[in-house]
Amino acid sequence: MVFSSISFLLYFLPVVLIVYYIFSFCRPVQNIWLFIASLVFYAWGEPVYVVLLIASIMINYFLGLFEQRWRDKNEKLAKIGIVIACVVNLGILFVFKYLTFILTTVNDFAGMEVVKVSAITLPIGISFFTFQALSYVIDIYRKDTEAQKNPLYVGLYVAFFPQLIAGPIVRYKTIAEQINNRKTTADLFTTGTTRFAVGISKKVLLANNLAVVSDTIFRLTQTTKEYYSVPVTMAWLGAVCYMLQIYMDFSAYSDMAIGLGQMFGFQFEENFNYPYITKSIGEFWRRWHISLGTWFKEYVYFPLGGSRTKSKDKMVRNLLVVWVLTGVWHGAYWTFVFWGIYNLIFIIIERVIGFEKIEGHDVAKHIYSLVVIMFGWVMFRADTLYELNEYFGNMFGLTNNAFYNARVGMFLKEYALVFFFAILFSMPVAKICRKKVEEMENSAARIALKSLYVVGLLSMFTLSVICMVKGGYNPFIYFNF
Amino acid sequence: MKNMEKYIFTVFFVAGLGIYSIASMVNAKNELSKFPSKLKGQNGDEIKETISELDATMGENVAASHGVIETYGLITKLLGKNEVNGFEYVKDKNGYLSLGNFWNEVYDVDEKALALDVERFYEKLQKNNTKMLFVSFPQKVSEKWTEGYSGIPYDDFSYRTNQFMIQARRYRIPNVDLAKTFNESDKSYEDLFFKTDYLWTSNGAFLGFHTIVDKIEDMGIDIDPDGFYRNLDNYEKIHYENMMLGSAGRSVGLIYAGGAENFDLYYTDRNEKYKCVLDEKETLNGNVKETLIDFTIPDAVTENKNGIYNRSLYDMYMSGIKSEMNIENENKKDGPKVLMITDPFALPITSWMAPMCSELDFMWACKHSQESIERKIASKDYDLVIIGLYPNDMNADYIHFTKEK
Repeated sequence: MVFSSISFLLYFLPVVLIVYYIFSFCRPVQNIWLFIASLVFYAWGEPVYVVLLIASIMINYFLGLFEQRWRDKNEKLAKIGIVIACVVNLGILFVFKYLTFILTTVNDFAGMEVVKVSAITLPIGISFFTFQALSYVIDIYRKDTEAQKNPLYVGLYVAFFPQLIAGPIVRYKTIAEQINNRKTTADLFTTGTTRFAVGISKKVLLANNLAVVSDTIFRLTQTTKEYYSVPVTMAWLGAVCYMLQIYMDFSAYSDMAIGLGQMFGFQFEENFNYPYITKSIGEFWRRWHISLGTWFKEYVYFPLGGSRTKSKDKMVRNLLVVWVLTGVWHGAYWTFVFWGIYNLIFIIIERVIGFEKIEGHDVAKHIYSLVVIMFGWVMFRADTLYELNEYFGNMFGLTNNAFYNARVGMFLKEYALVFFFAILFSMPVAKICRKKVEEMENSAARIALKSLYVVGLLSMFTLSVICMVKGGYNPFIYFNF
Repeated sequence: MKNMEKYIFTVFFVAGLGIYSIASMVNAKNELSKFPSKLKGQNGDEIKETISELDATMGENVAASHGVIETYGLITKLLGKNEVNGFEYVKDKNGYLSLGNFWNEVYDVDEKALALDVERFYEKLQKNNTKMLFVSFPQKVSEKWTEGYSGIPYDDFSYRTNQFMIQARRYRIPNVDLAKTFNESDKSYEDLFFKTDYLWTSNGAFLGFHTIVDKIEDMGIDIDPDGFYRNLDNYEKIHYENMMLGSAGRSVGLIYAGGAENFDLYYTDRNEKYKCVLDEKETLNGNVKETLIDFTIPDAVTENKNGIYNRSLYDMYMSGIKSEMNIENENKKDGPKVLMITDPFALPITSWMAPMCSELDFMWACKHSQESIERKIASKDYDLVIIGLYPNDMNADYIHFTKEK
C-alpha cells in the first residue's frame, strides 16, 4: 500500500484514525490497534513476507530482553547477543537483497554458472525495518534504552506504518518514551495533517510528473544509441529532472510519514533539510536522508573510531566502510557501490583541503555541489555500468548525438510549471515566507496571507486527490530499497 | 489562536476526506463484497493478486469518478497542455486525440522477420487451396491530416508499417494498404476518423471495406458479384448525435476531448438469418439486429448521465471485440468461408462481410497462440483468410502464425 493511493487515503487512513481516537481513553489499546493496522498495511503489499516482518519483530524482541538481562552481568554473553542480532538481521537482509547479486557476480567472474542463481523477491522496506530492529537491540546493549517488555510495542516500533517502508529510520531511544507517554494534542494533529497534505502534494503533483520526464529519458537511453539517439540537452534535462524527482519523491514520503506520525501523537526527527541549498558534499549528506546518515554514523562510523583516530588513514578507512555500505544499502548493483565511492572521494577531498572552512565563493561552491550531486544521481539511477557510460556519453556529446531535438522543448513547455515549483520548493521558500508572515505587523495582511495558505494547500491537496483518482504514473523510488 | 490556519485546514481536510471516503465506500460496496469469498483457500501469490484486484477496485469505484476525471481534464485544458496524464494521450492542433508514444522512433522491430512469418503462413494456406489477404489498416496519425505540436510524441507507426509493407510486397503477399487508399481519397479527416478514439468512423471503415472487397473480387472470389454490398445506398443508416465518446475521450473526459461526437451506424438487412457464437460461450440466433448489430448500446449510453463513459457506440458492431466469433449465414450456404485474424479495426467490416459469406470466423490475433490459429485453420476448408492489422499491432504479439510469440 502506498500513501498516494485511494486504498490508503479513503479506506485505510480514515478507519485507522477513527478507531484510534475512539480508544483515546486507553493507550495500550491504541498501541495494539496501530500495530495491527501496520501489519495490515504491510500485508497489503506483501501478504507472504509479512511473516518475515513478524519473525524479525519476535527475534529482536527476545534479543532485546537477552541484552537487557546480560549487559551488566555478563559482558561476553551480551556481546554474543549483539553478534547474533547482527548476524540474524543483516543475514535476512543479505539473503533477500544481496545473495542473487553475489552469486551472479561469482558466475560472471568465473565465466560460467558455478552456482545456480534463483531470483529472490525483495520484500518491500526490508532495508528500513531491519536497520530499525537492529538499532533497537544495539541501543539496549549500549544502555541507551531499556528493553520493551511488551512484544506488541516492539512490533509497533519496528512496523509502525508511517515509516515502515521508506523511513525515516527511527531509533528506539528517540521513540521509546512516546510509545507509552505521548500526548496527542490538537496542535500536533493539525501540524500532522498539514505536513501530510504538503507531502502528498509534492509526491503526486511534482515527483510523479518529474518521473514521467526522467524515466522516459532514461528508458530511451537504455535502448542504446543503435536504436535511439538521445541529444545532449535531453540527457541533461533527464539528469536535472531525476535530481528533482528523487528529492521530491523521498522528501514527500518523509513529510507524509512525519505528518502521519504526528496525527497519532508521535514526533519523528526530520529526514531532510533542504539538501539542494548545500555548499559542499559533506554538508549535503548532513541534509539528505538524515536518519540513514545518523544510523551509519552511530552504528558503524563511531564504533570504528570515526574521525578521532590517531591515523588519518584509519579515518579514510572508516569513511570508506561507511560509504561502501551506504551505496550497497541502496541496492545490489555495482552502480550503487561506485556511487558510494564517488561521494566518498569528494568528502575526503573536501576534508583534506578544508573546503567547508573556505570563506566566501558561496555561489561557486553551490554550483560545484549541485553538479557533483547531479552526476552522482545519474550514477544512482543507471541500472548498469553500460547504461551509465551511455548516459554520460550522451551528456557530453560523445555518442555522435545531436545537441537538441523538438522533444526537449516540448518537455520544457509541457512541464514548465512542474519544473518551476520543484525548483522553488527545493529551497526553504515556504519556511522563509512563513516566518515573514508571522513577523508581519499588519494583521489584515497576515490574515489574508494565511488564508491564502489555507486555500492554496487545500487546492493542492484536492488536486492531488483528483490525480490519484484519475490514476497515473505513481512510482516510489525508495520502495526499491 | 496561534497557527489558526492549520486548524482551519484540518477541519476541511478531515471533513472532506471523511465525506469522500464514506461516499466512495458506499459506491464500491457491491464490488468489494465479492472479495472475502475470493480470498478463501488461496495461496500466497493468489492472495497477492486478489489484493491487487481489490486495490484496483477501490480505485475504480470512487465516488463521482467521472466528475473527477472531468475536473482533471478541465485543469489540464486550462494549463494549455497538449498531453494528458504523463503522455497517456496527446492532442493535435485540431483537437484529435491519439495515444502518446515515445517508442515508435525506437526501431527495434524486425519487420522482415514478421513479413517472413506471414509469408510462410501464406504458403501453408496455399497448399490447402486457401487464399490469403493481408490488410494494413490505416493509422489516424498521418502526415496528410495531423497538424501536430512540435515534439509531442504522436502514435505514428508509419515508418514501421511502410517497412513491413515493403517486405510484404517483396515476399509477394497479397495485400491491401488502406493508408494509401485513405491518402488518395478526397474524404476529410473528420469523415474518416474519430476525434476521441484511435478507430475509424463508419465512413472510414466503409471506404476500407469497399477496397478490401474489390481486392477479394480481383483475387477471383465472387464475394459481391453485383456490387450490392459495396454500395452505401443499400445500407440502413442511423445517425446518433453527440453520443459517441471513444476510448481516449473516456479517459480524458468530455471537457478536454472537446465534447462527444456523432456516430453513424450502417448495416444491411435482407432478412438474413444468422447464428453467431461469441467466445464459444454465448450463441445468438436471428436477423442482423439480433446478432451482428447490438442495439442495446445506445440505450445504455443514454440511460444515465454517465452512460457515455461506459459504452462506445462503435461496439454496436458485433457487440464489441471478442477473442473469437463464429458467424453462420443460413441464407448464403453457397457463399465463401472466410477467416479473419485481426483486431478491433475489423469489427464493422465483419458485420458487413457476414451477409456475403456462408461462414465468417473472427479471431482477435493477440488472444490466440500459433497453435490455436493452426487448429482453427485445420478445422474448416476456408476459401479465404484475411489478416487485418492496425499499424500499432504489427508486432510479434499479433503476428505469430508460424512460430510462437
